[in-house]
Amino acid sequence: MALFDAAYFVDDIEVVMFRHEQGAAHAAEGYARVAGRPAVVSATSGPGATNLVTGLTDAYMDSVPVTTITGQVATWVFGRDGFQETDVLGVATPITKWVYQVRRPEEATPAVRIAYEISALGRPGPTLVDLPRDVQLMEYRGEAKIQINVSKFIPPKPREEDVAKAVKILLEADRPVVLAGGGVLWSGATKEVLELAERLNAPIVSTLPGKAAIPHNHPLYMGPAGMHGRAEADAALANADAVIAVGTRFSDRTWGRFRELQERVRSGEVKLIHIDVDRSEIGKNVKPTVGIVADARDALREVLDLMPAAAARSPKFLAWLYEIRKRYEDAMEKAAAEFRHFAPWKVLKAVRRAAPPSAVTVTGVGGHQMWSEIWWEVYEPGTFITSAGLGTMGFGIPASLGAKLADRSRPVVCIDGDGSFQMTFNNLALVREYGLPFVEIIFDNASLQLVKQWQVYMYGNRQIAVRFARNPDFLKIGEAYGIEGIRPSSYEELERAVSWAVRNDEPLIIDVTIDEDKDIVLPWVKPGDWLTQVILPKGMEDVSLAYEH
Amino acid sequence: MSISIRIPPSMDYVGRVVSIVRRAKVFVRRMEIEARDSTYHIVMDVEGPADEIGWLIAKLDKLPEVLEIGRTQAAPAIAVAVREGR
Repeated sequence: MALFDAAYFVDDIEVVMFRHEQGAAHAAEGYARVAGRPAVVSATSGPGATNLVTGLTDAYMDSVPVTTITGQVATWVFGRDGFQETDVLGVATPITKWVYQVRRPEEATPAVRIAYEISALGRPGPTLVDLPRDVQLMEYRGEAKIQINVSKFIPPKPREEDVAKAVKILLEADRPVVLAGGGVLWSGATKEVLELAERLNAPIVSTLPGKAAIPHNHPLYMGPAGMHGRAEADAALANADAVIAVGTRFSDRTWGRFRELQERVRSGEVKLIHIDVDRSEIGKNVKPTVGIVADARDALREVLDLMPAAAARSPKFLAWLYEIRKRYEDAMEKAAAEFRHFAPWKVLKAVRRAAPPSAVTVTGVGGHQMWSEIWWEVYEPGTFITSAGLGTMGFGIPASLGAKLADRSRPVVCIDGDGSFQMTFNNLALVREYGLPFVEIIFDNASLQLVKQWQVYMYGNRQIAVRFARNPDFLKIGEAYGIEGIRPSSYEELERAVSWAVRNDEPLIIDVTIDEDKDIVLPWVKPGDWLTQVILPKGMEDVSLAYEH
Repeated sequence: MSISIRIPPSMDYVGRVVSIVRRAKVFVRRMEIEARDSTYHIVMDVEGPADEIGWLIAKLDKLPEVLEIGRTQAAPAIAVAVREGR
């Protein structure tokens, strides 16, 4: 209360009142990913603070800078179960880069300043400052020194000998592959990744967060790899003899069974170069041939400086990957004809045609997100925002609002699911209240499709707790918040609707009916499988992702 | 392997250190905290794969409140005690 009362007298603090603290935290993530700097989220003690937990964890998993200030009961009540008392420091400890409880008023200013600075420095992440009520009410007494070591977040310079080893590996490789993670985006290393790939004539593959870093119309970009990646990207990674992985943590979602990769690296079959700003990521899941602890852009620049023009490689590997791409797209074109309503990937193509390249696209979590991973085309770095590491349903709407807050001049399109929508749609109240229009496209299959897919394929088709017997009318929900809605009957109508909303900077809810019985996201590398064990769609039965060389 | 850490004297920070240690695949044989020179000195003897201990140290070193961190081989007396199952 006292903190907000003080904010009443400060002109340059813009307070945006979300309808749920989780929404505020996701909005801060969306804001940071567009603005490139943290927003500050504030919540009251107890339930206000605990409602932030999902958003903080999401930011921690995806390395997004968010600064949080929580209220706390007075220090003399600590541990006595006072009203709305929660040990939020204890709760937030494993999901934040730094937490601090202010015990003296002179700690407040430096604590918030440090929290803000740390959240964005080096590998970004969330921070939290807890402000007890009695401390908030005390007189300002200047600034105390808080004893911590911030300098450790300043990325070290890459070691020359490691860079030299990396260059040698890349030059000697027959099938080098560049793997771009989310760190490429935060470091601003897109240009260097493209330059390296061009010089090596090597395919670029990304993780799901790394998808935002690479323009998809670049001929060497194969797409994201992994559980629901592009088949050609899975094939590239699985058959590489050298991988330079930049700003990625070797998630099981990208590699399926990363122990397979570890075995290949150990045997020398694959040479692995891992660049990451976070020392603890090097060797965490896969021990690389060469590990470089440095900022991604700095390290790649040094690699490029040391690398002469690479020797010409056989174009056969790339040609094979392009053929897999063509076979996949042909197969999906045929599959679309079997849908009575909308086919998810064709919806994405129609929306992409209507949205300008600079439009920021946000997703919820579920089947629609996986379709977006495979099919959504990113043209400008930083324009694709998703909850990758934590997979937080309900992320889409609040993150879209945060993205729009960060840059009101750019259109924002949210690709959502009916399940995700129903988790956080209360935040639609902010669309009219704060003038934050965005296009909300609901892939409406009346089910938790991705979970259902697992039940169908991995649990003997025993479907439980995945179908919505009765969904609300999403257009009427929009109407209640003063947002127009449409339920299109064709791809053309859908495209026109998106174009209209984007052109007029108007909010719009588009309820797209998806055939739930046909909505199976393929390709799919089942958990624990290796990339070449991918399940491909009908019509690709003769395609193998094992390269014959 | 013995890991020594110096942090500001706050149990909140001790909690942060413990939250990382508990997720490492190591066995903690001894952990001591002593307040000295306006800081807490933590010493812990851990057993586990070298890579895992290396990861744990790197992870602990990420905490901004960790002012110093170092590693040494466990003291001989402790090594003997470990061998003898004490």
